[in-house]
Amino acid sequence: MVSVEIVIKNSSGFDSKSAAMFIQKASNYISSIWIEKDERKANAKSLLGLLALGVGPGAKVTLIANGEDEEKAIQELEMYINSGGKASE
Amino acid sequence: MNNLIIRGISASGGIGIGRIYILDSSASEDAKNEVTEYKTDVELGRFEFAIGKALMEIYDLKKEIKGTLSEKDEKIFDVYEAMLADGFFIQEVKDEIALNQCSAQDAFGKCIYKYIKDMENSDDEYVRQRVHDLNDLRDRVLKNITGEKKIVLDGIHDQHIAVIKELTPSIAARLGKRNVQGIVANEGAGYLSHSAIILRSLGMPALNNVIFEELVEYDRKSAIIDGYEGILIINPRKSELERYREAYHQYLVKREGSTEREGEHAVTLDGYKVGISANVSNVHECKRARNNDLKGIGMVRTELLFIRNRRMPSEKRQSLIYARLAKAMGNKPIVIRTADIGGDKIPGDDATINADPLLLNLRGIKRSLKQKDQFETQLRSILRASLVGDVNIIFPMVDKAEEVREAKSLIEKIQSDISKEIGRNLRNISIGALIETKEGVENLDNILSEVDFISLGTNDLLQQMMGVERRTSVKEKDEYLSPEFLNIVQYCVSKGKQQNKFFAVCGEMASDPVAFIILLGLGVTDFSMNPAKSSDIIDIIKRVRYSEVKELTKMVLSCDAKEDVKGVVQDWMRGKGFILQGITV
Repeated sequence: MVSVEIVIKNSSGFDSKSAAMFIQKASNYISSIWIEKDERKANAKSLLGLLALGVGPGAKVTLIANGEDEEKAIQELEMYINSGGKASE
Repeated sequence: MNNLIIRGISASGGIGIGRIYILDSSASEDAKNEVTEYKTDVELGRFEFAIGKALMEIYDLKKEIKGTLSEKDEKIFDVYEAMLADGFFIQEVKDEIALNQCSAQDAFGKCIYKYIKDMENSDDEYVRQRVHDLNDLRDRVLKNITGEKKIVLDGIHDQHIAVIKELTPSIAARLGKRNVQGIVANEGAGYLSHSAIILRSLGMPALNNVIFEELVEYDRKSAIIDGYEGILIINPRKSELERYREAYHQYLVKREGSTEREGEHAVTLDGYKVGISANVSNVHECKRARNNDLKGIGMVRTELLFIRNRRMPSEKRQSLIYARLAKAMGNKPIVIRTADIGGDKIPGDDATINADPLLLNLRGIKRSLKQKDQFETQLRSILRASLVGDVNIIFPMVDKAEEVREAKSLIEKIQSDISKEIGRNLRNISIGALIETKEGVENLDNILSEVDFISLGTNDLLQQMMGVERRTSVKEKDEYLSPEFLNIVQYCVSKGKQQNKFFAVCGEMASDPVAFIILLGLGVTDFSMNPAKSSDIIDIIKRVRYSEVKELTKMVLSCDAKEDVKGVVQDWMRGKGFILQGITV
C-alpha cells in the first residue's frame, strides 16, 4: 500500500465534472484507490463516494493505492491532480 | 383579500404575473409496497430495471431540453448518468438486497441516504447543493421501482407561478418547458444549484427559501413574482400591478429580443451595458467564446499559437490561422495581439535570443520592432485576415507613443502593398496598445493619441508596479485589490475617458469577482478574460445595479488596505445573496 498527500489545486475542487474525469483515470488501475480527507475515506472509483467526501479547492487529501500497480497509480494520479487535472487534455 | 409580500432569496431574475399554483410534494414520499413473498432475484431485477429506466428517462429529458439550455447546462444531466453508472454504488445496493433480504426500494433508499447525509453535512456549499441532484435521482429511481406516478404537472400552464417545496433539476426543466411565469421554492434553488442554473439560462424568475406551508392557503390567488428583488407579491394592489406590467413587458422584450443567451452586452439591473470578451490562444477557445455569445475576442495570444514551432511560421501559415480565428467569430470583433516574446515567453528554439545580447531584455513591441522581418510577416498576415472578419491589432508592452507610430507606419505601407495586390482597399483596422508597464502608464496621454483603443494588462502591470512576481502564490496575486493599484487603474480609466478612447481591462483581475465589481464601479465597460470565467462574471453583472456598484467603489477607494477593500466588497456581495465559494482569492 502506498500513499501520498496532495493539495487539490483545481479551482473548483472536485466538482462533478472533474470528479468524473478523475474516476475515469482511477478506474484504469487494478489497485483499489482511496481518497482520504480528514478522518473520512472514499473510494476514488465511485462518483457518489467522491462527491459525498466533498473536496473543495485547496483541500489537503491523502491518496492511497493498494494493489499490483499501486506505485504507478499513485505516481500518475498525483501528477494528474497536481497539473490541475489538465494532464489528459 | 390581504395584500402580502413574501421575501425569498433570488435564484433567477425576471418578472412573472399570474396565479399561484401549489405543487403537491407528497409524491416524494416512498410508497409502501406490498411484498408478499420475498425473492432476491426478483428484487435484484426490479432494481436493475429501475436504474435502466431512469437512464432512459434522463436520455429523453436531455433530448427534450436540447436547444433550450446552453451546452454547459445540458451537461448537468450527464452527471446524473455518471451517478447511475457508479459501479460501486450499484454493487452496494445489490449486496444490501442479497445479504440483508431487503426489498429493492429499501436497499436503494438506505444506500443512497448515506451519501445524501454526508453531502448535507458538508461545509462546502457546492456539495450541499448537489444533495438536491441526488434527491432528484433518488425519487426517480424509487418511482421506477415502485411504479408510482411522477409529480403531476398536468394542470400547470403559462399563467401560473409554481410553488413547490423541493425544486429539483428535472422539475425545473419541465416547468421551464411549460413556460410558467415563475417558480417559488422552499429549497433546491440555491444559487449554485442546477435548478437555479437552468432557470437562469431560461430567464425564468425564481425564488428560494420561501416556506412552502405558508403559501399553501394562497393556492390560485393572483401574484407577482419579482426575481430581481427576490419577492413574491400576493394579491397585488392595482398600483403594484400597473408598475409591474411595465417591468414585465420590458423583461419579456429583453428575453425574447436576445436570440443569443448572453447577448453582445451583459446588462446590469439598471440597464448599464458591459462588454465581456475572451482571451484565447486557439480556434477551439474562439468557438467556446462564440458558444457563450461573448462580445468578441479581446485578445488572441499569437505567440502561443506558435510556441511549439522553431520560429514564427510563414506568412501563408499565419494568414490561414488568423483567418480561421476571424471566421470562427463570424462578424464579432477579434483583437490580435502581436507576438509577445521575451521575458518568460520564448518560442521553442529561437536561436536569435542567445545570439544577440541586445535582444535579451526586449519584450513585446520593442522586440518586434527590432526583428522587423518577423514583425512585418505577422502584420501582413493579420491584415490579410482582415479581409474575412472584423480583425484588429493590439501591441503588447507599449512604453512610448513612438513605438506605436513606428508600427503604424509599417502597417500603412503593408496596407497599401496589399491593396495594390488585390485591387481594392483594405478595411481600416483598429489599432490598440496594451498598457502593462510603468512607462506605459506614465506616457499614457501620448500613447492614447496614437491609438484607437487601449487595454490594461493587469498581470504584468501589477508585477511592475507592485513588485509581484508572475508565478506567485494565490495570496499575493490579489495585490490588485490594494488601494495603490486601484488608484493606478482609476487614473488610466480617466485618461481613456478624457481622450474618448475605447478602454478594456484584461488579466486575472478582470475575472476575479471582487476585483471585477470594483473595476465596474470605476467605469470600466469592457473586459477580456478566460472564456471559462465569463459565465460567472456575466451572472454578477445581471444581478447588480450599476448605481450601487458606483457607490460601493467610492467607499472602496477610501480604504487604506487591501484587506479592507476585500472585506467591504465581500460583505456587500454577501448582502446581495452572492455565495463566495472558492471564487474569490
